[in-house]
Amino acid sequence: MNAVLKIFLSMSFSGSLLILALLLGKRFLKDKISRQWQYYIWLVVVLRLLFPFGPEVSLLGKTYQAVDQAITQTAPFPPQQQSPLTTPGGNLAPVIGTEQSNRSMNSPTEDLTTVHPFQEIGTLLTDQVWLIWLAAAVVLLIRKATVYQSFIRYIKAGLTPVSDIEILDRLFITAEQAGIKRPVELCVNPLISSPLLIGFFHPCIVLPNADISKKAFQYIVLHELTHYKRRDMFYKWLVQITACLHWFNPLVHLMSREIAKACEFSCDEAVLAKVGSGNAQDYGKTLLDAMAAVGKYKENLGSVTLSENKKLLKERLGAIMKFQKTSRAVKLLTAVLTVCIVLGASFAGVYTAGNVQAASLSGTTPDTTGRPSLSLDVSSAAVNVLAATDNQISAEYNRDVYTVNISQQNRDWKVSISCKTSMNTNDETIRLYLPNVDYGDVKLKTDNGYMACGLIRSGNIAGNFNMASVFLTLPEGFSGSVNAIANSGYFQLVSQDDFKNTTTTIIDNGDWGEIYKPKNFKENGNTSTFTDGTEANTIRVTRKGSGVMGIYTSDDFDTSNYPDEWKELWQDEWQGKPWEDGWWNSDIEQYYQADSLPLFQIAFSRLDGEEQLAWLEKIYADRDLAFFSVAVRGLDTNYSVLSSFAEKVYENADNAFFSILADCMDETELEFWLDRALEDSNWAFQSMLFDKLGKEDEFNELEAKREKEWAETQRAEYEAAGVTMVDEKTYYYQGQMVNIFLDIRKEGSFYTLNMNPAGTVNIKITRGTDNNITGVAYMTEAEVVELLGDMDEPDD
Amino acid sequence: MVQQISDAELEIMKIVWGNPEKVTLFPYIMDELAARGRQCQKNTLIVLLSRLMNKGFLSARKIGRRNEYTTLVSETEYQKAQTKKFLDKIYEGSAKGLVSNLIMGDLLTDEEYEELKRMLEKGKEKQ
Repeated sequence: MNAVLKIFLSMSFSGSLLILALLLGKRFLKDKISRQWQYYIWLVVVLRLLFPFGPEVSLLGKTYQAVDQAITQTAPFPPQQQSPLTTPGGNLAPVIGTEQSNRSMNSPTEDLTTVHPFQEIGTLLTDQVWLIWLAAAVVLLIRKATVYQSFIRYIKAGLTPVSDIEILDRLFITAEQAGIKRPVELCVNPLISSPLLIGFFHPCIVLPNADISKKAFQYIVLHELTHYKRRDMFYKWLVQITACLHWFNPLVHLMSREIAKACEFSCDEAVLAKVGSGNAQDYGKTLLDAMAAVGKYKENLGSVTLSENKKLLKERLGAIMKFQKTSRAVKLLTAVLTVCIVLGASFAGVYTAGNVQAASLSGTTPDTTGRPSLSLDVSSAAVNVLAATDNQISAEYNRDVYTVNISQQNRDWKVSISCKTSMNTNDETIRLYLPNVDYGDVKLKTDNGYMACGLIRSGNIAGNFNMASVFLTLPEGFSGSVNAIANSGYFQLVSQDDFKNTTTTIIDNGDWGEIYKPKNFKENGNTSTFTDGTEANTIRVTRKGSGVMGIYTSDDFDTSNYPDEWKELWQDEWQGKPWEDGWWNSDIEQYYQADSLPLFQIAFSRLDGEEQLAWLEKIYADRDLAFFSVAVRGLDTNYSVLSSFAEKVYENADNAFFSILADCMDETELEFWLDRALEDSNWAFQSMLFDKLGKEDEFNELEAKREKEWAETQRAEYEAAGVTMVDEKTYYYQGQMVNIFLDIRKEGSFYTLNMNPAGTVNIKITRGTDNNITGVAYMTEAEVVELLGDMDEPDD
Repeated sequence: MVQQISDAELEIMKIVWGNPEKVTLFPYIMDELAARGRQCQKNTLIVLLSRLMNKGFLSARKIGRRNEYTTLVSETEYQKAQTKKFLDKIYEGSAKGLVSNLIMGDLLTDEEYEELKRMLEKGKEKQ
């Protein structure tokens, strides 16, 4: 696409937003705000549509860039025409560059064959589309001009100058009142239907006939003179030119009509301001009379007429009757609105041609200023990245085998992990704890090792993986980019929100293997792209060789997703073991020990029901929530294993584990467990199950009801013991107001302590072994001191 | 061809023709109009003058902020053209009809009649 056209489209788009805003605003403020303002504010929009001015940072600039990027990435051009997507770190760019130049030199024929003839035509069309736009605009402009000319010729043909000095005198007296010093020609043309004004520099008022009342003459002339004084002709033509240039935008045509209307409205307003609102009725009548004559020519183009059409006239009459002087408040509102719209216009922005390079750089990249940068370098080690609880980087590892260096300075965090021995088996997984925060630049480097990371929820990830198995999971809501070079190894990238707000580029320099790809993944030569249909997200995979890669979306992967080639693949390169169905079973233990969630998940889904139950039991016994979660998700919903296991977890009152199970239950089952929890008065489970069912409101209601009931019971209990509870703060015992009220239940599990400074006595409730109230006693001085002393301590 | 002008325009032309000076100035016309009881707005006069210029009756030379008007059509030229037009329109080009009407209709005084007679004879001699 041509840059000029792109700028123009962006202007059209920004303008459209403004038009919509103004049209919307008009609905509410039509009668409140000065018509003049309503007329001239459109000028802001017109200027927005005509000139590509704007501040550096604009609201839509980003959007345009994103759109631009999407276009660049999905356009059916041969690879060497695409601008390489570079990382802010920039270290990938040269690699891509060489890649592409190499390829295009080595196999020029391949590139030629990959370009479909239709694509070529398409390319030509997109390249030349600006010509179509320009041609249409020019044709429309010429047409407008010729139509106007022929109209003027028509008007001039039947023109008779008014020679009555008396009428001319009246015209100029009125003109002088209106503040117009320059002479204006006055003519009569019986062929026109309503008075109008023609001529840019030598204005001429044309009347259908001169035989009208003095008052009507004055109004008509004043109206037309106002048009002249305000240079409405120029405005009108500016709008016409804008409409021609934006011919493809229906909103601009709508705007053109709106401006024409606003022009008349504001002109009426200006006239009424001159003649006084008391004359509004007379003025309206003049408009009606002017309409009575029906014209023989469509004279709405390019000239300024007194009455454009009947519908508009009706509106104008309404406005004329409502005419009022603007108040101070309205003036203030107007000023504020003006500032808003002008700012809106400049910040609505425009696509800037110079930013094409910057566009591919930023894209969906979040603003990362102030965020910590992370560099993780793993060499000959297996690392599992987990969330730290204390915002500090830490690692659990065997110090005899591995070296871990952690530096956490300011916003520059570095971790490097290496193996002391030359014979590394990767069988002792290092647990690396990283703060779960938004990151800026994230560099992940893994050589001859293993890494699993699902922690990074935001940032620009630059990955460099050599002879490594990397499992990178982008959590839901991830925003940023992934730029990875995956050489010889396995790279698995999972996006739990289908790569929304994520830009991904993967370069695979390996020389073997396959790619597992989600639906909607399109391979085009050596470049593969994935979009979910919204075009909001793109993955670009450039494969020179064919390293093993897995790209996943939020679709859970199950065995049916596997490509057959995988069997071979894993057999040959990954595990070096022959493929057999029991293979997973034997290795699942290993994955579990190695803390490898992704591999465990794959293996688990391959097990049969009994084995799965056995594993669930084992994980449950180990109380490993993460594995439990993965395993449970591997079960089929409503599978009998799930129900039988749920029973066990329920009985153990394991809230956290039950919650994971509940995630996989359907509504009926959840209802079943809820009923049970209600029956058992199992408070925590009720809360969770209500939550899972999305019935928090019901739960809150229930909770409120229970609290109330409990308070009632409590009150009755105290009453029986001789303590009267007036409200939560005021207790009476034996006719005296209570200062300190203490009620400690068995084992101190729950107690009520109330202090009311107005009270005079201190009492405590005594309870028996079954927690029943056995009596009420006055507290001794010592007891009070002990109680209050306890309370005061923390303050000291 | 001399164009038609309106009564108001003719009024102005008469003032310009009647001005003994070679060029006529705007205030002069204003004053003359006022003297004839036909005051008008300044702009009205400007418009009328510009119409006369467009019709080729006057030309204006701008000196500073004032216009100097000179006639492009003399009074006799105008009268001739108007008479011809009148003849064409009413008498289908026949001057005889006009003259006979003037005489028959008692529209001429005796002196005028004599003068015309002399002019006719003179004209014959010339031929």
